[in-house]
Formats: sequence, C-alpha cells, structure tokens
Amino acid sequence: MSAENPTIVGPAGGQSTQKNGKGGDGSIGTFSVKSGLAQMLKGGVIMDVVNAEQARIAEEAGACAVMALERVPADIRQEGGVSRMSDPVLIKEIIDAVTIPVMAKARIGHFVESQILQECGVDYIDESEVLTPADEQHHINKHQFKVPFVCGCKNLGEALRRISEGAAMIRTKGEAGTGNVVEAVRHERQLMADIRKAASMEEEELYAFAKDLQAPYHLLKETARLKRLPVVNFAAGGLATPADAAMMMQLGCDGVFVGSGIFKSGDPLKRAKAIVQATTHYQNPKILAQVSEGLGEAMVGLNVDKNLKGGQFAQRGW
Amino acid sequence: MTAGKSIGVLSLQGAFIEHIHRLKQLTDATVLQVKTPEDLEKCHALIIPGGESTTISLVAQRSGLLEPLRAFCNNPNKAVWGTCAGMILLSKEATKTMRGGQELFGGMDITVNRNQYGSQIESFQADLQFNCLSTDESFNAIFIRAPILHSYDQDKGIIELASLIDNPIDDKLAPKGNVVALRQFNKMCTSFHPELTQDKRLHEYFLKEIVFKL
Repeated sequence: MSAENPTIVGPAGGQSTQKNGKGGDGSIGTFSVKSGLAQMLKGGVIMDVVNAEQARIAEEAGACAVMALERVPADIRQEGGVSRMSDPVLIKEIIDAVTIPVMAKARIGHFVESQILQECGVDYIDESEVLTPADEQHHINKHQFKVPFVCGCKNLGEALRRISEGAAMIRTKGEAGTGNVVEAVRHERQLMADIRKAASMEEEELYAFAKDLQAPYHLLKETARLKRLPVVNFAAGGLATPADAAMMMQLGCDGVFVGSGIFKSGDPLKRAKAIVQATTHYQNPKILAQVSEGLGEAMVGLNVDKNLKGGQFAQRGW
Repeated sequence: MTAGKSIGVLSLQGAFIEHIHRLKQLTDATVLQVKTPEDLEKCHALIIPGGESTTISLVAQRSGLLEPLRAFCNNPNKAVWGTCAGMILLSKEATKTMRGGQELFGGMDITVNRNQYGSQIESFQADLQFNCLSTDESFNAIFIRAPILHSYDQDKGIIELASLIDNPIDDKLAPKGNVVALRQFNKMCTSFHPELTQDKRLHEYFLKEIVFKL
C-alpha cells in the first residue's frame, strides 16, 4: 500500500546547488543531502533516548537513529513544567556512544536551540511539539541551517507548510507519551486521504485545495504528481508494540518513531528488537506473530480525551 | 535490455525502493525485494542499498539472512553492488563500527572506515569523472555520512572506477581515501548514492557490464 518512488526534490522544485570537486560550501547542506539522509532512514525505527546507555541499547536493537531528549514524553506528561532542549553534554555523550545518526529535539520556533544543536554536531533536528513551544506564531526558518529538520503534522496542509519552511522530513504527530496509537492512525489516515484527494484533482481544483489546506500551491502540485509527500514521512506518537509499528507501515508511512514505548516497558531491549523486525517485515504476519510473543509488559497506556494529563501535544504547531 | 536474470535489492532497511524503481526503468528482467533467504535464492544479482549498515546487519542476522548473504556475496558467479552502507557490508574489514563490532557480508577485498567524512553537516555533493560510463559527462554524486575507502589488496583484480580530486582526509588515516567507486570482477561498490539522483548511467553500467554478462 506504501506509495512508490519519491524522486525527492527541494521545495523550489529543482536539484540543489552543484559544484566541482569535493565539499565546497555550495555543495554542503543542500536539500538533496538533507532529504537524502531521511531516505537512508526509511524502513527503520528511530528511538527516543535520554542518555548514552539507552542509546547503546537502541543501537544494539537495530535502531536506524536515536532521538536525544531530556525526558521521554510519558515523563513530560507526568512531571509537567516547561520542556526544553537537552543539555549539550548529554547529547555529546550520546553522539560518542553510537555510530548511528543522532537526532535531537528543539522547541517549536526556538531557532537558537537549533543553532546550538547544529553546533553540537547532531545529524537531524526535530522541531517538536513534545517540547513546550517557544513561539506561538512562527516555526523555525529551516532553510538557514546546514543540519536537516524533521517536523510533525496532522494533515497535508501542515506537512506542506513545514516543507515550505525547509523541513527535509515529516512525521505524523500522533499523541506522544500515551502508548495509544489512535492519534497516530488518525493523522496518517488524514494525510494519506488528503494526498489521494489531491492526486485525483484537476489543476483548477488544486488551486482551490491549496487555499483550503493553507499550503503552497507548488508543493501541493508536486505531491499530487508524486502521489506521496515530496519528502520522507515517518509515523510517531503513541506506538508501543510491534503490531503498532507494522500497522503504521501498512497505512503507508516510510518508517516509525518510538518514544516512551520502549524504555517505559518491562524489557526495553527485547521490545526494541521486536519493533525493528516488525518494521522490516511489516507485510509478513508469520514474522509479526513470532516477534510479538513474550515481550513482557508494555508501557501503561493513556486514553486521549479532555482529561489527558499534560494535554494534547498534537494541537501545538501552526 | 535483455531479460532472463533476476535482480534483487536487499530490502531490510534503507533506500531500497529508489534502486528498484531505477532498475525497473532500465530493464525487463525480474526485480525483487529481498527480505528472506527464499527471496535471495531466486537472485542472480543483488544490490545492497544505502541505509544504516548496523541496522541492515542486525536485521539480516535476526532474519536468518546473514549466512546466505555471505555465501551470495562471496560467490564469484553472482553480481553484487553495494552503495554507501552496502559498501561497508561488502568490505572484508570496517573500522569505527559499533561497540562489540558489526557483522559484515564480505565479498570485496577492501577495508573501509565508517562515517569517516563526519556527521550529517559534513555530507556533500561532488562531480565525479568516470571513464566506463555511456557518456563522458561528469556524475553528480551525493555523499551522506559516507564510508571512506581505507585501502584494498593490490593483487586481487580490483580496479578504481572514480575518485574525488583530493583525499578528503589524512593520507595516513586512509591512503586510498579519495577512491569512491571500485570494481572487483562481478562485485562493485560506491561510497555515494547514485539512486538519489536522476543519472541512470551507473545502474546501466552494473546491468550491462556485470549482470548481463554473468
């Protein structure tokens, strides 16, 4: 069911700067290089970690990248308060501990946290609604960075607004820290439905649809032509089991983020390995059944309703 | 191009769809995703795509594919091409791997340094000059957290296909660091990603010069 062949191009629609020879400034941090790393992550699992020890467990389990953050979303919900970027010391320890790419979260709109993370040498920045937003009107202008960004979305309009600001990878938001996959499913289905709708439209209708979605027309047109987002799209927010990961893959995403679901469970290494296997073999029920056996206790799940402690993170971002 | 051969793309993790689409544009031969030992048995040739080499290696191990892949890559009658992570997995030795080491498939007598170019912000694009492709135009190559060639065995029939103008790192750390594409009989590797650009010439080369001559 996964849509085919993203021939991924920059938001301007063209291949980025080229220069002779190796790595002159014009050829570093091009959009092809930024979105290219996301293409290398496809079919993989990106795991939330708060320290070097967890990062090593994630790597051993087969994570294709780790996400460094101060507290996992489940703890952010429980403890409340303002959530910020991690301490650079922790991020550097994580970078030194593993060979796989290291991502880190910055607050929505907090371009200085992003400057610091770029300086620390992270491979990707997640401008994330899981942290407390620093700006309630503006997202970061991501074109100004050499490091690529991933951003959350609930629907196609939000995804294309983020790509227009320079995001080189998109993830659906889901509802982080709940262990409840229902919102991730809602957002992925909404995104896919919007894309299918756009793909069937005539050009005149696309202009009107762009207005409804509050999305740039040229990106919507490119999405309609490709029949998929013009960048890689992962699912996130509430995945806790191998079955959750495989379901999101079957719904059409390119890979998955798992946050609290691993290190808030009874046997993190075993569960993490199982989720990695399930993401590769998402169309193979026999393997899915094998890896789902005897994983011990899953994280405690929360219902997503008005009583949800910490509120709905997915509503953050504009 | 002629059919009759089955070409697999290792599809455990990474950018495998891009290779599959490129191959389907170029040939009527069967192109298949390889996720299990049964899939691999059907193949005459294999592309190992870019992705995370530790992930691909660990998932291969847990899917019962590690030994079949080693046998395939070390079989002189099979064609194999590794791009980026695939180049690491095709090497006989890789440095800077995860703690506790990393299982490789082998198949080429090369030694590589993992992620030697540095992190994502050091990833880059560069124009390369090949002499073996269908036209003489330069090939714009995308390097993403790329492995770097350290050295290769001189007497094993390895030929250099393309190099960067300079060695991007110290000659002592990697005397052959500027070589970014190599061939050893029916095996070939590139430290960059031809599947991410529109240029089809390297895929054509692999098919015409290796796969269809098996």
